[in-house]
This record gives sequence, C-alpha cells and structure tokens, in this order.
Amino acid sequence: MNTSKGLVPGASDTVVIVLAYVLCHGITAWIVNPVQAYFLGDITIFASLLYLPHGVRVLSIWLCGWRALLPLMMAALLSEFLFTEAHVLELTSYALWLSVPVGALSAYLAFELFHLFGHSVYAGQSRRMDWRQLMLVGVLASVFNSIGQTIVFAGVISPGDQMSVVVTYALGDMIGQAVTMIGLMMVFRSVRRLAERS
Amino acid sequence: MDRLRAIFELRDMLRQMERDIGLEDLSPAEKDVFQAAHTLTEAPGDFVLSDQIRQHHLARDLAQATFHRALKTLLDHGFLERPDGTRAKHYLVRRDLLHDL
Repeated sequence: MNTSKGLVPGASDTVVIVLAYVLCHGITAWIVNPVQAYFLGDITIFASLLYLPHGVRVLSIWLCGWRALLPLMMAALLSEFLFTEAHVLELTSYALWLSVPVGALSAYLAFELFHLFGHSVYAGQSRRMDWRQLMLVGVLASVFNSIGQTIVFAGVISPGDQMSVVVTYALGDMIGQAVTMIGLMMVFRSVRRLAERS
Repeated sequence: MDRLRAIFELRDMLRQMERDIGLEDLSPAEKDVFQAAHTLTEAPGDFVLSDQIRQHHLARDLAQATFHRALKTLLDHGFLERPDGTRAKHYLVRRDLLHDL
C-alpha cells in the first residue's frame, strides 16, 4: 500500500480494500449469518458472531492510516446494498449513514489511541510488527464499534436485547479479525510453499 | 510506506504468527540438521558434506533414517541445495532462509 497524498490511497489500494471488504462481508452474510441465525435467532440482523470485514478494517488502517477510511466506508455501503436483505435494509436504512462511518472510524480511533499514548502500531513504525499488538488494536476497535453501533441502532433494538447485541458486535469483530488473519496467514504459507517447490 | 515494504512487513508478521501458533515448517530434527549445516558453512557459498553434518553434535544423535529424511525435507523446501556440477553428498546452505527457522 502506498502513501499517496490526498484523501484516498492509490486507486489500486482502494480497489484491493473494497474488494477484500466486500468479499469478507459476502462470506459473512451468505455463510456465517445463516448458520448463526439457525442457532441463535434474530439477533443476527444486527450483528454477526464472526464478522470477517473487521480484519480488513484493521489491516487497511494499519497499512494506509486515515487514507483507508474512505475506501472502507465505500466498501461498507456497497456491502450493505449488495448483501443485506431488503426488509432489514428498510428497517435500518435511516441509521446506515451513521453506522458505516462508525465501523471505519472505530479502527482508526483504536490506532490513534495507541499513537496518543506513545505506542504507534501503524505499519512501518517498528522494525518488526507483532501480530498480538495488531490483535489488541483490533479488540479495542471492536469495543468502540460495538458501543457505537448499539447507540446508532438504539431505535430498532429492543432494550432487552441491547446487551446481547453489544456483546455480539464485540465478539464478532474480534473473532472475525482472528479468522481473517489466520486465513491470510494460510494464503501466505501456501504461496511460500508453492514458491519453494517451483 | 511503499507497497513492497508493506507486503514484507505483513508477511513477516504473519510468519511470526505461524510460528507462535505452532505451525512450523520444520520438525526439531530438520531444524537441527539445518542448523548444523549452517554452522559448518565457513563462508557464504561454501559446500558442506553430509558426513560433516552427520558428525556435528546437533545431528550426531539422530537416527540414520531421521537424518536422511531431514536432509531430503530440507532439499525439498529449498533450505539446502545440491548445485549442478557437484558430487553427491555436497550441500549448499541457503543462508537467506536462516531467519525462517
């Protein structure tokens, strides 16, 4: 990812972020959510227990900083229109314009908070990045996101369900990031093994 | 930050993650054999003989079959090379891969 000046990263980086996000959202919507709905019921329309795009959020902000915000918001909007069922979209559309920035900003805020306390964890800051640090930033981002989303959707979540939605959002983001990173790790591992054999 | 550096940083981080969660590429015996071969390489590009590796204290106690399997795995994974034009049992250590252990 490059650090081109301006509001957005380079065109290719934007495309990579948007495609990765939409792909992860699609997997969550078509595979994870139906399984979750079967076992846990209607809570699934607000939050997923395995929200893969959170990993894309964290990795994009890690690599591109604030310049990843716009591509992430574009990707989140596109994903909502592509994968969210019409009746759910109708129910939540009034809050969508707030929910989308909250998701992207939560990751950015978590990185900035670390930066504020003198421990920047953006890519290129230290010689070797520890994956645990990135997971920790992701956990903080998921907490921000779960609180933010619950406030945004307060009008459509019944008070009795609010705590379970907060917990589902936070857990979904954390597990989603872990699974995304493990998936990416397996991709790099496969590529390395293919290269070793050739 | 340029694109290549970002990819390298991501690759290194995920490589470390792979090690930390126990998904190692090499078994302990394979690591010992590679470490022995590396130690015996006096200068970059020097060959090392399989008998020399076998006599090294790291590889001495390995069963014969384990030792040969380890050599074969290291060759398959590209940690060791058998360059063209050299006699059998000569190996070349890929020093650039040492950090991957």
